[in-house]
Amino acid sequence: MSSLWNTVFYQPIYNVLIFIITNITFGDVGFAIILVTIIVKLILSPLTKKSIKSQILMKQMEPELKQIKKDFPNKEEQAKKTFELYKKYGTNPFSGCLVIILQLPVIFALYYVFYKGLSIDASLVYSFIQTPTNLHTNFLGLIEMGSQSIFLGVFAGVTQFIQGYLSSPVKVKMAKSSEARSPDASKEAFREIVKESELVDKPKTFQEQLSDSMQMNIRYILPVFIAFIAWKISAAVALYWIVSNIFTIAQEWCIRRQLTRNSV
Amino acid sequence: MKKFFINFINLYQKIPFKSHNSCVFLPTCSEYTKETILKYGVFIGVYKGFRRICRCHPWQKNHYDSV
Repeated sequence: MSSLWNTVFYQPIYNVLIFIITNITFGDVGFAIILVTIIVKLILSPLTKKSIKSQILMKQMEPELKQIKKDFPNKEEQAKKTFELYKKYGTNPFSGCLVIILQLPVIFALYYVFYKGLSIDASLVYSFIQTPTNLHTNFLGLIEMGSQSIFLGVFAGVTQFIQGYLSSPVKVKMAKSSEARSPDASKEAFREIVKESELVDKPKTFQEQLSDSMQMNIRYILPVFIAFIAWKISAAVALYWIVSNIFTIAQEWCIRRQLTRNSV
Repeated sequence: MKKFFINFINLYQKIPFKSHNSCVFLPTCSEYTKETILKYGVFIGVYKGFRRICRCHPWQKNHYDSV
């Protein structure tokens, strides 16, 4: 199983990295990491595009979805109405969980290439690819790729935070935007808030409280966690994370712009 | 054991991750797996959840699939 993963996912990406180091960046590892990450992300982008799109539309549909859940207690009818709503917004058919899961080995292999370090293992390099003669791992003459860099680690965390913040804006903002759209919607939202506060009055179990605070804090915890890991492993992994986050931010921004253009 | 797995799925549902809005089914795969774990136990439940994920692809015609 692991050898299959090695030959199908890990080795090709590793060889692309070596090829780029030799032929394009002339021994510079830092820029090669940036290029490889962008190439792999570009190849995957048609697959991720759909799910980002539905993520954005899902946020817009949220009030209507809540309404459906209230009006139709029957689960089958609920599902039917929900799919009608999807059709109205034009997000169906979704790509499916399987498509996302199939991407994971690629992402994991990409990460592993940088994780394993930057020494060249000749047994993994294909025969038609030259190994680089002069390898310099000093990115921009400042940061040693193989060492730990707190600066790149923190930057990875910051980009992760920005990415998370953009993809799921804080709830208060959502309520404000719906207020601007129609007064009815804001009333609805207010009722919702009142209801939720009624629910809050009920004593909660420890687990419920834990999961609530988790939802609140995951936006802040995850970036810190990633910053810490990126710093501890190596500057190469941190650089990969930064590039991949910036790529996702750019991709989301493009899709958002496309969607607003289509609606206008 | 059941609780552990269900909390694990709850945690997954809270992490910002791109697969959340791409499920072709209702209830979603993760929601479905929670229900099967409650109903059939961890082993059969997780197996059924896995089968469900394999069915969750763009060519799936039937979008309503309850436990």
